[in-house]
Amino acid sequence: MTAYETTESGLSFLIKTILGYQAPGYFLFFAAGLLVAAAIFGGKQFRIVFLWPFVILCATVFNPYLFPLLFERWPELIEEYYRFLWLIPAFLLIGGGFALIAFKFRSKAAKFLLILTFAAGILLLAVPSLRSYREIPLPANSLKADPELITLCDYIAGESETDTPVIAFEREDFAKEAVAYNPSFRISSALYLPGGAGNLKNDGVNFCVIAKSRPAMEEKLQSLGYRAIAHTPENMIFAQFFTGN
Amino acid sequence: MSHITLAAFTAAGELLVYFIIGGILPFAAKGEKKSLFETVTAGWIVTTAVMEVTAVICMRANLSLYEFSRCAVITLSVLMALSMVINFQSIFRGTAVVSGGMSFFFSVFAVIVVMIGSVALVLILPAAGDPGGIIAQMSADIRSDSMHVMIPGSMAVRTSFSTKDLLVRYHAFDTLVAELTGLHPMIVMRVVRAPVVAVLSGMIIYRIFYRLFDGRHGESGAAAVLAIVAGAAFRTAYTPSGLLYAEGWTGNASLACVLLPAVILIGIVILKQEQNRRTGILLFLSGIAAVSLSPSALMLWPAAAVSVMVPVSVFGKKWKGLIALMLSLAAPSAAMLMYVYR
Repeated sequence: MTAYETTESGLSFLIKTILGYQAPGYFLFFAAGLLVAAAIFGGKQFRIVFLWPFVILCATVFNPYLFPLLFERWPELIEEYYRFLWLIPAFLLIGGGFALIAFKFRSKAAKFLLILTFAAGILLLAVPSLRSYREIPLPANSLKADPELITLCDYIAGESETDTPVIAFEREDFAKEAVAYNPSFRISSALYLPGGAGNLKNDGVNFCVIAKSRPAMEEKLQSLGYRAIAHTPENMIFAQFFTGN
Repeated sequence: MSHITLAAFTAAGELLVYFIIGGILPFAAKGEKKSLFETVTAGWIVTTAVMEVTAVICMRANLSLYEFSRCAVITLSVLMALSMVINFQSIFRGTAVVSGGMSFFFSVFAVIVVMIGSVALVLILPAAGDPGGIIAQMSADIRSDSMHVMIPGSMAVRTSFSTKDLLVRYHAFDTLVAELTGLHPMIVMRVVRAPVVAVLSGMIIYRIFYRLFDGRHGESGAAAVLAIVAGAAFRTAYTPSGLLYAEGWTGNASLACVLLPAVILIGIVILKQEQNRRTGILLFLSGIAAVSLSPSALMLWPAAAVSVMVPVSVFGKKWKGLIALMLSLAAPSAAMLMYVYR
């Protein structure tokens, strides 16, 4: 976010905010030019609805002598100041201003061609921002989940025959984070609550995840109808094979 | 029925609910022809405000999500029934709504542009990480049958609500939709809410120009198309249209793309009509709706309302607009005091 230096003038901060958060930077200046067109050609209604609100906003929230005083009282406003730029109906000004100019011509063909030209011009000018949108990469592991858990969840999601598999994790933290990673999972607490393994059948658990080298637990799960189907560096995955008693 | 089909029907149903409820407080004055787009916009404002009040009361009363759902459904049903009673005669005569009114060429083009934007919202994966928190909370609420009580991830129980937790209840309606339809909250937000916001935004943009151009279809349609194209073209993560296409389901997107333009539309309607109490009530309800959308709305909505209504009242000589403005500032002011002193 744009930092605000107490020695910086309010106007400099305002321009920096516009150029930083309303890119391409000329967008708002473009809209300002069309505001003038709307004020001249649009008549009283356009002036009341677009020009005078803009004047009031410039005198208040965009006043470079006023908002530094607000920043002294509420420093957290610095981070959020760019949101005040949403008050400027820039794309309304662009649409209305161009329409006013185009419809000053009498010929239908001229109006149609001008509107098409303006639309093409807008799209051409906006190519940098359209291109940058395509280049935004998706964040990897934005939830900062344990890689072991991701491996387990991805495997189970691939192997499951149902859209909402019921999974019992031996580790309670895995149980809680797995739901955040894949909301389609249903979690059973049967393995991390004491004496809860008997509830695996009642909970309809499809998959169990336990730590490796736990022969007693492995035997218990096999006696309940679960079979080991995969393992990761630290854990083993068991799947339900018997749906009967 | 696939999830996407159900979600599409849900989005259409949501717009229909807004349309029916909008009949209670239409923008049109008595004797003036009603507009489909303005009726839907009015319905969105009324529904958002009513859901905010309902959700806050239910949260303070520690009601479960199921109990809140019953309250909300009953409330919305009463509003819809009231609207049908009020508009009974015009429904009976088939004149309940006239039309959006656009020249054929620009109407087709505008519909195509809005639909492309809506589909893009659904298909393009956003890079923003914040919505995960909203969806996680909605999922936790549905699973635990509570309202904002369980902390997602840890599933610990909240012992108290922050002011933001209590007041920003915009997603209560989406949680209600997810619970009633069985759709996952992710689908409700991405496939239902975001396109509905895009369509509402397009409707409001068109009606602003229709009113400003005194009902001339060609200019209104052309201006609306150019405005929508400009909004889609010039965007970053911080512009209103950038919000719409990156995180259209959030309260900030509804604030920047629906509510703030709706304030402009309300100002234009007050400017051009004889004194209309219903539009003043809509302005008041939009203040309550602002509280539900985002804490930023408590700064932005008053700034927008004052900057639009003061010139309308002074230069348009609509002095009752100032009274409506003063009364409308009550809800955001009360919310601001809660944020500061609670």
